[in-house]
Amino acid sequence: MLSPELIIHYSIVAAIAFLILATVSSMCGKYRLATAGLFSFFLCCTLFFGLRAYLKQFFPFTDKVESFVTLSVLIALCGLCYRKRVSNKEFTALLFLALASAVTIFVFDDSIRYPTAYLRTFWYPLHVPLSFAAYAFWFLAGIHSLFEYREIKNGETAGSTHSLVTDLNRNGFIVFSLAMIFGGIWGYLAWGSYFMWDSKLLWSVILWMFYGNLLHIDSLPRLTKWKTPLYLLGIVIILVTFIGTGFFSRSIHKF
Amino acid sequence: MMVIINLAIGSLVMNMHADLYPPFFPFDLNFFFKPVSSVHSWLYALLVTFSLFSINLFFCLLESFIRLVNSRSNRRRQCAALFIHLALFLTMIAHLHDGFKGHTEQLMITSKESQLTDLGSVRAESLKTLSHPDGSLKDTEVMLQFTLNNGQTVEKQIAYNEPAIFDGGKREVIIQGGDNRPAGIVLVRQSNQSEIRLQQHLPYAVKGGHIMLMEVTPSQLGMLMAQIDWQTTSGERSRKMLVLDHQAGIHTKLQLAGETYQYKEIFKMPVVGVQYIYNPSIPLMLNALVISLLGLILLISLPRGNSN
Repeated sequence: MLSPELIIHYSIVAAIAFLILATVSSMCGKYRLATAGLFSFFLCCTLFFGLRAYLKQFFPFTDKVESFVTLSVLIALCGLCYRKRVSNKEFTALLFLALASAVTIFVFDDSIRYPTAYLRTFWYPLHVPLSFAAYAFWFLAGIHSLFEYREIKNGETAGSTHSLVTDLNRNGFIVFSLAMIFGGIWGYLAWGSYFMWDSKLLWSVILWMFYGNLLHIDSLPRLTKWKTPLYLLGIVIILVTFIGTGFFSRSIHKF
Repeated sequence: MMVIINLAIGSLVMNMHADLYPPFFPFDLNFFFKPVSSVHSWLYALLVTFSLFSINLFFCLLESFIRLVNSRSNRRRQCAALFIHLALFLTMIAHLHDGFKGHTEQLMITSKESQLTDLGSVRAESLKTLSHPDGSLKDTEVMLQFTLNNGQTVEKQIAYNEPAIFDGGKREVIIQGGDNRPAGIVLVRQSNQSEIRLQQHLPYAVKGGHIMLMEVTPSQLGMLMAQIDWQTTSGERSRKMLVLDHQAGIHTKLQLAGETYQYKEIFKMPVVGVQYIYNPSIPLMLNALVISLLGLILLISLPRGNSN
């Protein structure tokens, strides 16, 4: 009889295999196969999260393996939601990011542990997935901006997709603002402060202000040429916020 | 952008000076001024850039407001922008206010009364520890009894993520950890089977003198030992050891002035580590929260391509 831990392991291996299938199919232009692969990926991830939630008796977003899989799922989901508004290349690039996030889990030792007392609050599952959803929107904004820039440079018109980057940024900004609000409420209840001098919090403020500033860029013609580099810089800031402070700092948010 | 660069520099400086900036470092701006230090230059620069940013933001707000009043179309977008900028402005003021006027105390609460500045006193009534099946801590629930400065007595339960809140959120007592620890021992007087509750460092009058429990410590064999100070009425003092384990036979008994005292049990009392926090800017922060949520709702409802 398979133990729950083994089923979890097989489910994530199968999920990643389906994600690879979706990415390769997308690269080859096989639209339906890519969609089928993605839905199979989501299905396997549902099993992965469901069993972990059962074993932990809590929402399964509390360790680094779960965090990277959650990010992967949300990036893939974001790609699926915007699939009709972005090119196949952009969609494939996003799937590569989702895949990169998912395969990162093999670097870590996956032992399922109960969450600490501080994590046991409903503010936590509101705070973390919303932050990752914002990263997903902003990743797609960065990718779309880059492809849009290449199209303009190659003499092709950007057409109706002109406002998509700003739309994606707006959605990311809304979701990230909510994540910060929920995180602040949790911080006030758990540690007595909605803000602390902590690397992760400082970089989250940086991220919020950075993308908040980028919301104004379409109204500032002087800065339009900087739009793509700034959106790409945004991806770097996301990586510093998520990976840099999560692994290479003394942050209380460190994995 | 200057604010962002300053924050990034601050993050790096704080990461490099682990000795100066402890983890769980609260938002206390006074820390950076007592004393003023060159290491904190990033924060002084941050305050300057944030001040300039706030002035800029204030005039943006005025302009947005005037534009909103004069505008007849696209008002939803302008309202969203106005609300979010106003919330940011209020948040920054609230941070500054809290940073300089707020304070945090760390204290241990036991069944004896402890004082909380400007609030009253508090004592722990009971403590319950909840564990996961693997023995790791799930939660700690502590019942506290507060006697407020106006004489009112209030009972509140605190746990992780569930603080005791007063003054509309301006004051809160937050658990940091706690346990039921040995507070004393119960002895049975053999002659009449009456019980003596011996609390640590409190003398207790018995036949022929006083006894006082000094401390309870584990022995080299792992058994708990009680050190008891015995003082006769004539002033002679001696130290007695008592094994707090019923398997230890004769070593669980004390012979004092012809009377035998038998160890019965250890009694415990809750000891809770808490943070008592005063944050005067909570009402302002709550206003900023409501305004920002309104702004975000308006932003969500904007049609696509109309967000910049």
